[in-house]
Amino acid sequence: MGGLGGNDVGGRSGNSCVAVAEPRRYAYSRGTKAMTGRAWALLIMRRVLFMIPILFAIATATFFLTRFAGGDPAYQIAGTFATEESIANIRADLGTDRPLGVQYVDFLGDSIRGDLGTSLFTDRPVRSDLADRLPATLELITLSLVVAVVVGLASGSYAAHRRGTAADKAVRYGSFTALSLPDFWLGLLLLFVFFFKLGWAPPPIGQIAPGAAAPRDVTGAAVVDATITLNWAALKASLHQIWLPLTTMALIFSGPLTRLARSATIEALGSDAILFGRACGLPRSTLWRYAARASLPPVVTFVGILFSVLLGASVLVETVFSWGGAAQYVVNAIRVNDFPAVQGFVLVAGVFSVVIFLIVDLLYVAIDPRVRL
Amino acid sequence: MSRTEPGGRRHWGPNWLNPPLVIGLGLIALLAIGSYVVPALSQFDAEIANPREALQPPSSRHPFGTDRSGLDIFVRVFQAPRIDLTIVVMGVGLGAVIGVVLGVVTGFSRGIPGEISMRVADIVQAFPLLILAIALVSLSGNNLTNVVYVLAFVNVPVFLRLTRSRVLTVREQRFVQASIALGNSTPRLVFRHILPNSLGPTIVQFGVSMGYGILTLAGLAFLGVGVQVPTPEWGSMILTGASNMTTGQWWISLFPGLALSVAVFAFNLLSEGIEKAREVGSK
Amino acid sequence: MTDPQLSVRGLELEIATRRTSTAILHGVDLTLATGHMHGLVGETGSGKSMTARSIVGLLPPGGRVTAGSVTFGDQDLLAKTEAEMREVRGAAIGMVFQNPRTALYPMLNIENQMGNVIKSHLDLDKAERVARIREHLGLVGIDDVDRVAKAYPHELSGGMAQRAVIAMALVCGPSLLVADEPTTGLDATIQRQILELIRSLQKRITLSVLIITHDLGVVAQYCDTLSVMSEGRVVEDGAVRSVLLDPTEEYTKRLITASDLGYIRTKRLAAQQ
Repeated sequence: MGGLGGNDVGGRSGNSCVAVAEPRRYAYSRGTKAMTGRAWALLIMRRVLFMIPILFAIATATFFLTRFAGGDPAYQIAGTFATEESIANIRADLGTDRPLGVQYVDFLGDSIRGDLGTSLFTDRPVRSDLADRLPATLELITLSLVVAVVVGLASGSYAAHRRGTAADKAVRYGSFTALSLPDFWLGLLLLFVFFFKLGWAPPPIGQIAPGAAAPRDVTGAAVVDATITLNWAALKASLHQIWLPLTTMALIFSGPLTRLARSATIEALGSDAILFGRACGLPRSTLWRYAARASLPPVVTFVGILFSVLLGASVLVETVFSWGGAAQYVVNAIRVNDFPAVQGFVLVAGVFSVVIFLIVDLLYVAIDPRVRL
Repeated sequence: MSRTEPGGRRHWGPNWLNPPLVIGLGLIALLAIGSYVVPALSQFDAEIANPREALQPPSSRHPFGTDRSGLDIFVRVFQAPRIDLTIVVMGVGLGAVIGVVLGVVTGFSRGIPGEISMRVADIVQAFPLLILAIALVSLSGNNLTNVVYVLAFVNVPVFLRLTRSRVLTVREQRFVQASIALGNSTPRLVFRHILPNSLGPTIVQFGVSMGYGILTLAGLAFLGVGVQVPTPEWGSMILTGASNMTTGQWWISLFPGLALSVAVFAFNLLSEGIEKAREVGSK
Repeated sequence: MTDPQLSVRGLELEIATRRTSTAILHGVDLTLATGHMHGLVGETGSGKSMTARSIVGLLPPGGRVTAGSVTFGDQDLLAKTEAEMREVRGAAIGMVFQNPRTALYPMLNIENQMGNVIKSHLDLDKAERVARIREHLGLVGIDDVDRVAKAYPHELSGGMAQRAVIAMALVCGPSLLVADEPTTGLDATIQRQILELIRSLQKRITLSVLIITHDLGVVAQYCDTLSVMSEGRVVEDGAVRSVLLDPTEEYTKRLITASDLGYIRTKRLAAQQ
């Protein structure tokens, strides 16, 4: 994963994760009331309302960035034997000959209605293209992160409770190595071992193998669809397809998550509250729970950032496994100058990220009563 | 959950030459030096194709084997840091410089400019930056210079935030207030007090961002962005060997990826080492 | 004299790191009589906190008791396993620390936290637990018990938080309270309140108190007996009046002179002249 946005968590190194993963500054309240039901409702309403100008800003940024980064697709479409006239015609068709301001307003209007234009490459509405492919990407990212979080929290707190022992060392070295690996390379290696050599994994051709049991298309994500339609054959088939890319991503991301969980747990274990808890004779299980909950916040923040980064960065793993996700779609779109598709994807990804950040903030408040948003 | 111990101001402590720092630095030096020494000593050229020796597994003649064009992978793996390291240093370095400057500026100014810059950084983070990077590079020229700019661009927010938060903290400290009261001018304040205090975390972050930057560069190359064949670069080498993984020629992608991992590992280790060196007392 | 409640003899403690091993306590002797308040004074680094922590077995990582005995009533505390000590802590011996706001677990309200402590020692049903919690919150001088019980630690002021901490330490009915600098982080007026509270608690529920402090004034006003510590050793001990008015050791004299009491002593000496 060459993910770039994740820079804000300082690459994948756990230490810097803790330091830099608090860019979302949470104010610790002093002497204010804790959250009641009413306070929750108000908070959510306030944040959702606040989202609107942010979404607006994202749409604007998307518009200008794609115009700036993209070339003029008219040349591409017109082809080698383009004439001035044909290019002008294409521009009129696309609407790119109108003044920028008009294009912008149209773009905003269209986006609000959900119309993301038509792909120059597939000739279908961008919205449909994305609807076809986004679920696959989301499914892969979500499932991988879930596994990575479970592994990370478990091994991180395990290591923290056995600080200084050989087990701790093993966990530290392991996670440090994991976060140094390129995800696309690991995917290739795993493919070689588990597909080519051992035959435990299928050839990398996407969510569903031809001829295998396919679930009914509800969401577009094979594993999810198979589960909700209770189609066990399809579930088995889709899990068979997904397990290798999922393992690749989960392995890599458990690296920083383990380090984060470990350092947060160590800090919690050394805190005054745990000492006092011990002094009151609290059993180990209670103290373990106390430390675990206290170590959650940085992990939650990090997962949120990771998720939004992976919307784009998953293209690497998707490419290796021919997953057919949205990230692959947009990279291809870039190559062929399909700028409605690029624009549509960037907008959708931006919106997704904002929603994820909101969820993360709300989770943070739920976990830590001190936080005031 | 906090401790009641007083937080010490960190300074370069006795842990200067701790293992992670030494090993990390050593590995990086090895890679950098090797990128010139190994090609010089090898009989093979890293960029001249040799189809008659294509797809050979590792042997004494070709320790890492050859790829589809007959290029010796050993030489190419070792020459790759010339690109991988240089481009990333330049990109991350540029981003760091700009980020630090902006961080100081926005950290000092009270009120609106600071808030705006944070919101802008927030929004920048909401975007799928890898995608934008690919877009920027492929569409404004698929060359390495643009990759440097892109790397710089994505690193600015990181260093901006870091520096700004340090500035905000240091600014409130008594000795700074005293300094201002004594009539010290702002630039003097910045250079003598603020920057030295922010230096530590910035250097640590630089190391980490370097590791990340190398992965990004390789990732971009893997997608065919930025690096041109036949320039040896780890990511594009992995790409060349990707399809061969499913047909059994494992060595083409393995060795570049291994080297890539070692480089990232080394930078992360280095950052760990620097952080450890800054700690006061033994831990 | 009746049997002392707490008796420490020849306590030696060392802390081992990866490279070295440092001796912290070099044979500490301490006696606390039932129902008394004993002050453990000394400067920072004298080993008073370590002594207290050794008594309840809350040693820092690498800490090891190398010699001595700690007898509580008729029990040998050093011979107990960690599991056995967990039963002692909170139920027989309560301990409070310096900073109340960080001592309380930030993510649960007071009632739930205290409930957890009760659950680990006493077998009570929910109603009994709630009643006991309320009772103890009232005992420490909290007026608005309902509000405080439902409050989170960060919602309480420093003084209120320390009261809650004391309530939590005492909720299972221990007979000894170890207080490690319980008032150092608080405002002067609150300090007084807390100390008065501890003194009143002593009378109401027969509590022996071991208070660690660097403030001789506190010791002079509230303690029955004291020990003066320096560099891991007890320099002088005895009844408060005799030690403070007529110290025998040089160190003690210097300590007294350096504190606010020095003035009082000089005046008395002058008056005696």
